[in-house]
Amino acid sequence: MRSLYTEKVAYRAFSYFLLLLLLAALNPAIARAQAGPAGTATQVSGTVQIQRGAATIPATQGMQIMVGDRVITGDDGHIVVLLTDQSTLELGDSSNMVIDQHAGGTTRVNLLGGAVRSFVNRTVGAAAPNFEVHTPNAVAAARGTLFDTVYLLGLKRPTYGDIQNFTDVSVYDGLVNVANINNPAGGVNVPAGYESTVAGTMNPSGPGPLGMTGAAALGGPAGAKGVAASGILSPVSTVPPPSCPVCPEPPPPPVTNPGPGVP
Amino acid sequence: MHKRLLYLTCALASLACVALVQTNASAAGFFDDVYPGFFTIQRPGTLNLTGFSGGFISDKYGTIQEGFQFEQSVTPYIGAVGRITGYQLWEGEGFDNPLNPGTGHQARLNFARFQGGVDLNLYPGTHLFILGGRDAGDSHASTIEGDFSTWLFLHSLHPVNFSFSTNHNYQNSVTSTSMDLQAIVLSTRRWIFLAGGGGAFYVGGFIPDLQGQGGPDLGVYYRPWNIGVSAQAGYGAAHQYGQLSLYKQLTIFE
Repeated sequence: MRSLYTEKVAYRAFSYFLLLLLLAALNPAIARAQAGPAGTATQVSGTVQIQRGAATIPATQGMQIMVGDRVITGDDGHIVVLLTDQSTLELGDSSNMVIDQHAGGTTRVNLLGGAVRSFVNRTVGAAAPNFEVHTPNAVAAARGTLFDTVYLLGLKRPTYGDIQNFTDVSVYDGLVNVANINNPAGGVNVPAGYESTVAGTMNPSGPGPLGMTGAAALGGPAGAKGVAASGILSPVSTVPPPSCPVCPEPPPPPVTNPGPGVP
Repeated sequence: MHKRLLYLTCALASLACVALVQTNASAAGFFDDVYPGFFTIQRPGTLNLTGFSGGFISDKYGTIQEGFQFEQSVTPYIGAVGRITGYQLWEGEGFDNPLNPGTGHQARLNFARFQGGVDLNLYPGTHLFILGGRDAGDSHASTIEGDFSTWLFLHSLHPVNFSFSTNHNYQNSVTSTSMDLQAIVLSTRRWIFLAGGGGAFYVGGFIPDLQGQGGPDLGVYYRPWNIGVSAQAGYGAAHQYGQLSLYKQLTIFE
């Protein structure tokens, strides 16, 4: 014969189990209720798709982009998303990003491949927005800036050995802190006019002038469309200056008249 | 005894083979680390075009040069380079502005220099051009030239560029070298500002002793237009001098 105490314990355990099941069922619904609009697609060209839940829909100009949407561009794709706080995200071709969070002054973008240019709007008098771009190996955190983040996989670069994944951050305005995702405390501040690279699991490189360290950027140093090959700009001409004397042979000595009587 | 010697010899030979293989492997690893894909054709290829002009004025002579240079990539580390330069040269004491010569001063020599050669990308940010060429016009010299440029401390706020160019003229047997050391003082979204110093020295042929000149220089580069300007002033064998270079770069992805 089971005791009354044992029956009470079993009843409570079963109740708790039912409650847990109910919470688990409601959780996605709660999450969906919290995921609101992140912004609007203001420019769309080429092949651009939005993955929303289990559905994949083509992106069109003017359509709403929601938090949690995955934006995927094809080889000719390009999209600009105007966020609700007037910040913008410009995604280049062959790129893939997810807007993980956009609420209460906090924006978090997950760049899984390709390049995104972020303009972080800062309202005068308001608190600095908390804006982060995450890649599989780095975090770029900005406070009111304009910067590019590029994540490349499967390419080798000279002097980096076997490392084949790189995050390049190029800053055009403001200041961005760049860190390896596994070592957030080891970040470096990259000022405007400079760029930095996180290679594999390494800490970010020291900031170097834009276009000179081999980092890739949206548009590239020569203004090419899309993610430019990581070339190196040299602002110093390789043509020798004109100071090298270019004199050919000196003029011949003047011919002198030998004078009378000399044959 | 012989067996022990044989075993010892075989052991030493094996050890030597292992060491050799390891050395080759590490050398190959180092080579692959610094030059991955050395023999791979660069795709997309790039064609760099540089239009340039400049002037040099001193108490002894003045020069104006203008032309363009192209660099065509073949592999990520080797490319072809060609350059065409036009020169106008004036000589004289107490010299006038060669761009507006006064009475009695006129362009003494006008000639063009055609050069071609190989571009070696030795290391990220380091280039070596080896060019041969020939002049046409008032000069008929054959020349050989080496141009070297390297960027140091690229991952810093103030990278430094060291460059030199050495040219030997087979007609007048003069060997001339120009050198320059510049640092990036400031980089912004649109501008790069440089400061440093440089000069030139020359010897051979009708120049009996080593002569040269040097002084500080300033440079500025405008990124949106890929245009740069560099100015240098100083003193030397040609007495006081001033020098100005302008260049426009264009990169075409093929």
